[in-house]
Amino acid sequence: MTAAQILASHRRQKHRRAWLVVALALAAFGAMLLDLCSGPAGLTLTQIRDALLVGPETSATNSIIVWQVRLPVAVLAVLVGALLSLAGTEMQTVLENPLAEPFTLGVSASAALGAGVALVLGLSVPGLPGHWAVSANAFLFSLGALGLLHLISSLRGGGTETVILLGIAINFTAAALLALVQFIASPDALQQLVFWTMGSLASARWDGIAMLALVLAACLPFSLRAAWQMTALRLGSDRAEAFGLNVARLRRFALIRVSLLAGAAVSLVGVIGFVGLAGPHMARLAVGEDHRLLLPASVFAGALLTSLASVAAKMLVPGILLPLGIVTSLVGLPIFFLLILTRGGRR
Amino acid sequence: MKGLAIAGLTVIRDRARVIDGLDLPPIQPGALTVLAGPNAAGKSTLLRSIAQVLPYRGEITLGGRDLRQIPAAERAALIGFMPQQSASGSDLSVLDSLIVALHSGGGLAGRLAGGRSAEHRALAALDRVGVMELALRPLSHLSGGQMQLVALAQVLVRDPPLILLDEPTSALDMARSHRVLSIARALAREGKTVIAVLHDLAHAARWADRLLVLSQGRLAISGSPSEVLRPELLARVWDVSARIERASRGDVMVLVDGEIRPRPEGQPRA
Repeated sequence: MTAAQILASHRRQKHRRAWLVVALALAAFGAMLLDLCSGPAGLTLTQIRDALLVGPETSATNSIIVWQVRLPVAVLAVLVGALLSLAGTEMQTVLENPLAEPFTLGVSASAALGAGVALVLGLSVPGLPGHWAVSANAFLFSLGALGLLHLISSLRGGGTETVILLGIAINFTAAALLALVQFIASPDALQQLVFWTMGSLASARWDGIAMLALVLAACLPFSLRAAWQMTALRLGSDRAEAFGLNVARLRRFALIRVSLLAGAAVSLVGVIGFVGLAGPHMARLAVGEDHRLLLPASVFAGALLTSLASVAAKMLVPGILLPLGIVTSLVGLPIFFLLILTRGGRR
Repeated sequence: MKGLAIAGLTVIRDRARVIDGLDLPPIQPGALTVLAGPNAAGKSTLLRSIAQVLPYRGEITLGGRDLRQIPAAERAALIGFMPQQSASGSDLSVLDSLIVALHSGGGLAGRLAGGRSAEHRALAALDRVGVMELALRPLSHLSGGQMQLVALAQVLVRDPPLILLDEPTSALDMARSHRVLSIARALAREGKTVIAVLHDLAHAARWADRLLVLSQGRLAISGSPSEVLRPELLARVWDVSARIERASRGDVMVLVDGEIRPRPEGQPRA
């Protein structure tokens, strides 16, 4: 190949990947619409469009269904997927481990423990409205988990392995404590807690959605600004440091973003597995490891996955809304296996 | 003073003094400096300290400026470090990896690397190392030797004045070793400060303008290869009985006859 041919082919590849990001965005939007259109009420497209156009202030049944049930759920699904998947991508890159994600490193388990403390023991942040108690606890506990992870690993001066092992330790500790909380819980609280840990969009509210959107809007610009550095880190931390990159600082700020993103998402909807793992891998398969494309791609891939899972949660068993966490794991697992198998074949 | 100077360098890793109060004579641009020494002599540690990847005590100056005092972005434009051979699990293409190398340092290298010119510079670097045909290959699909050539290109693309190569030929065949070492020497002739760690003393003798021999974190000897490479030194530092022979054009050849004073790993020398 001549230099000109290489450059032409390189540019074609870049264009194709940029289009794939657009395609993922469109697919996520399509899945959100599908989510909006599916449900037990059997509304037609026209009815949904009319209800959307009229706005939330009317008392028509259709309008209430669309504005207070369907749209919050659909938007929440998109946001939760986007946040978890972005958090997963950043975590996998800065910890240089394809299995790192908020779920595997104890963020979800800690959030669940926080929720358990609120639901079973009734302990929460004083002065908060009642419906925020569980989420606030979950958020604080997940931040605490990542804070602890960060503190201990920086004291130890450890590398990525230390962080991952600590994360796994926190995961098991939180799970054990949660089991203890469950053991002493009243049957009523236990049921609520079990439902919470299965992950659900049913409690979708606009104030929570606004909070997630805010967290995403606050984190994404910083993620994108670090895109080059994260791409350089893929060449190995030694090399990246030799390029003048402060890897420890990059890692620290990425983990702060991950805490906010994952903590916010999990605290609102409960434990949702596999999106933080499958979203990033799907995005990486589509657009490669240039983080300028990978970060937006994983946002859209995560949104697509949870939207589809939300649709499936309504459709799988007619008349029953399955917990989202169960569905994402069921949808995510085959994708994950497929990924492992195809990657294994390529090497 | 233009070159690299090292004074009182101490590096402690896992509570062991890998380098212990090392002073080196100034390393000037224009000459290829080769670092040699037995295993665990501190060669890579020294190179990584110069590259500012490891913390150290003491002073490393380039052109009279303490490297630690130079802002990271500017420093990155000054130093090109090729770490020891390592496989990459990344799916980035070779060309993209060079473009990333060009951008991520910030500073001058980062600003120069606009779109098309970055691609052209990356291809030129690959061409110089002779692996342009690998440009679109993912890093994870490269063989060890290919990866090593690409790693050299990642250094060249930034065009830094100080180049540090840690065993740049360890995975290469004869032709490619020759290619890499002649590039290293050519870079020195272009006025850069080039330091390479080499295990193969035949290579060191053939290519080095100046040879520094490290042993147990200290400088054992320095000078031209023909001054340095003596049977007594090889016995003292490498624990081998060896002959130094002259080949047809006066090139130095090291012929090892056997190991002397064999001792368990980790035991200090007498």
